[in-house]
Amino acid sequence: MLEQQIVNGLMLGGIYVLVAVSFTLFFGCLNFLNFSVPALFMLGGFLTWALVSEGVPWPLAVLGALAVAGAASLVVERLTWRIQRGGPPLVPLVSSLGFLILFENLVLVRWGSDARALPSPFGDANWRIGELVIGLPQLAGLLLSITLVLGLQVMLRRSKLGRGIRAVAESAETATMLGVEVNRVVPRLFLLAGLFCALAGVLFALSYQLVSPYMGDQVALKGLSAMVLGGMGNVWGAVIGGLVIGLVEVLAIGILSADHVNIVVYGILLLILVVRPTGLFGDPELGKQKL
Amino acid sequence: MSGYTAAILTILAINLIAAYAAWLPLAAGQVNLGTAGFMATGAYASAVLSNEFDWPLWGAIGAGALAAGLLAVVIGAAVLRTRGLYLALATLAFNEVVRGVLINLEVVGGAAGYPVIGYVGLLPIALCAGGVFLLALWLSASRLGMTLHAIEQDETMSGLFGVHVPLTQLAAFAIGAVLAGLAGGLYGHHFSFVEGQHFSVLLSVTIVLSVVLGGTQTVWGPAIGAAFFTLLPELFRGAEGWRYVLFAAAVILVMAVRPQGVVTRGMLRRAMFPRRRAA
Amino acid sequence: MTPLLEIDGLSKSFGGLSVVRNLSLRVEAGERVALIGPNGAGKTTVFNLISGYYRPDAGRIVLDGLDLVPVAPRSRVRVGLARSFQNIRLIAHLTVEENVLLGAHSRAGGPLGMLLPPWLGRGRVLREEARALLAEAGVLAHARALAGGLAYGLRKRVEVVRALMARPRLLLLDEPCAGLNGAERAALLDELHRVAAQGVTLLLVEHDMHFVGGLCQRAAVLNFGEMIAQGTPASIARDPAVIEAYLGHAPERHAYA
Repeated sequence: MLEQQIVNGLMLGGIYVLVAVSFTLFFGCLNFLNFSVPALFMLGGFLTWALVSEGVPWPLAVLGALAVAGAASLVVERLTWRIQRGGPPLVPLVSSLGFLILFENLVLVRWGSDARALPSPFGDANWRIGELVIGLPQLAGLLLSITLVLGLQVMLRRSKLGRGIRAVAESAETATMLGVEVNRVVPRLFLLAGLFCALAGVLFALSYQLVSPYMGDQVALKGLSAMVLGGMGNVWGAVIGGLVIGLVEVLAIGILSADHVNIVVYGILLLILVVRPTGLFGDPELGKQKL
Repeated sequence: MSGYTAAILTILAINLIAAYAAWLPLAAGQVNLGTAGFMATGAYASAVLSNEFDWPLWGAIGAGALAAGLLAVVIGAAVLRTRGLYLALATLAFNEVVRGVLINLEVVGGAAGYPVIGYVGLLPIALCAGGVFLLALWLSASRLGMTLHAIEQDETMSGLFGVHVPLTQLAAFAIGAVLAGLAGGLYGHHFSFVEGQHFSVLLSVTIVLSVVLGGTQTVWGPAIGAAFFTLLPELFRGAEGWRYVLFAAAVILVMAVRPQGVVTRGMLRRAMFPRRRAA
Repeated sequence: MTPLLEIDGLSKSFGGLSVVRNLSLRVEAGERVALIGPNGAGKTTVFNLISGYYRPDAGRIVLDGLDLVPVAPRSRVRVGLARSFQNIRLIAHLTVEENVLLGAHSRAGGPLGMLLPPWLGRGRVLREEARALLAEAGVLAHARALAGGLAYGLRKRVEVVRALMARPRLLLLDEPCAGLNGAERAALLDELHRVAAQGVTLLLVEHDMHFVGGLCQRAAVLNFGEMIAQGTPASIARDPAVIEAYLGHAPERHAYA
């Protein structure tokens, strides 16, 4: 039923929001299309399962997964951004693709390619309103996403780190001249954005109880579509984009079939890029002189 | 020559052609993540011509390559207006749309794949690879090659001297797609089977990464990259995952330390003219 | 007589900042004119407007009777416009010869010609030309060297040769002698005199007043995007408005104690 699908779509979209925001932070602030984001999503979700399956209580498993993903994000910063700052932007992009393949295959080597079921700590808790079923973990995930994005916006506007990030987003050279320690701000940005998408992976694992080493690939294009739809570099746009893509995916599965979902989502992405690359809310100047 | 060696060399030859397919747009500064999509086009188009219309083998493969080129002209005209990162995303999306369509097209077997009538062995494929290499050598030495390098480094300045940047980029994109279609057609007719699953974004990405690793400045880079990627598993019999781990690690390292790739023009000239020193 | 280049009421702002204000300038065919002024006066912006890199907010740019503003930047070289750049824009991993040949792209034949090596067909003629020009500029010895490895002064001169390969009627040179030593400046001066003698009109942006005095018949002074004076280099140097623009205050008589 349509309302149910809308609900489901929004729940899923809540997770895509975090991935899209992560992509957006990298693209908007550093002009960096960071393909390690989906890998960090996968690490967040998959390592949660891995730790839980070793008997680790799930809150610790989540923290452990996030810690590893955070560390991975810092490694990515060191070996892509830090070294190639000021060079052609395609080089960090290529490096980040390397990291995507690296992390995915490290997991494959250790655990194989099977999808794994994660026993949920929440059982099947859900909330019924009339005929609508709202899964509680999913709802919590959606609320958490929105809260985190709100927190992010507050941080960007009020805190010292936030000011540093916005200065770097304008221009790294100017930021340095203004006294911003770029070499401390950027790693923190990587950590923050990395944790966002890793958390999305954790939420996905806890809500849908299925993880696989390939889950990053699946979410990558959806997160990117969400970012582009909402407007590259615009955080609230990414939120809208994430929710819309979640909706589109669920509705497409319902109306067409699971097989056709990819065509629809990527078709939309392609269309947006060709017709209106700035997305719904993006800045038309962004990306022009940048590349 | 053992069957195993022949199989490796055949894969190497096909990967070489695919590498040059990705090299042309890359040399012009375009990150094209849709190479596999054009390979799929060539593979399926040639397969259909062989199976349903009884075309002679080479006619089918050639026509498949041309079909990929035509598709590239259509897609390229729309997509090349975008730049850099947007272009990377658009070609990625294109790749997935093509793959999605092919997997769902029951008339060509759908997700189960599509058997291909006809067989092409190592020798013809190796000759094709050699031909592609010579073509790449020719293009690299031609005014087009020089112009692509200029566009890659400084699009605006090139335009101010009269270079028609969008058209030149489209040409590189389309010729690359033809080569990709050729690689796809050869692949399909060698394994006598094509399936959409194979032509994934991962394939496009690994092709691009191997070319960037080898170096886009000269015609030797893609060959080095393709050879590295294809022959690396020989060090790790069986462990597919480790192959990719090492490959990815190598890419990350090279990009950090030597972003122009392993083979640069300067290096090539020093190797060719060891006594000459540029003033 | 129709001037070769006529700029009329040219204006350009970025954001709220007005960079070129109501600029009018005429350059007659065969003249050698300099655009001078303090840093940030808008001189390179004027060049970028003439090249077509920016679109003017107002005003006309007319080259030999042809309104340039609707002409696409890449087509302006075909009507006789070429330029060099303030920060050198050569392609580092191409040779000097190849870089210079790029300048002749508009004369190199159509798409089919692109598939030939640069030294076949039309390319052969162009290559001879390139080598001749490189020889005149004194840099032929480096023709086969990769541009990225050359000294700054050499690269500056190669940029000028590249612009000449477009066989322009109007040559825009953006600080052609910045960073050159005395001998190199003298050589460039001679070369530009030779070029002008062959009928090429020169419009330079320069800071070196000695160089301008040695080459140009006329100098136009820009400050904050506006033309504040025009005349011979000698008269400009004495103009109080110009001195004030450069020094920030009116000229004073100094008593040396």
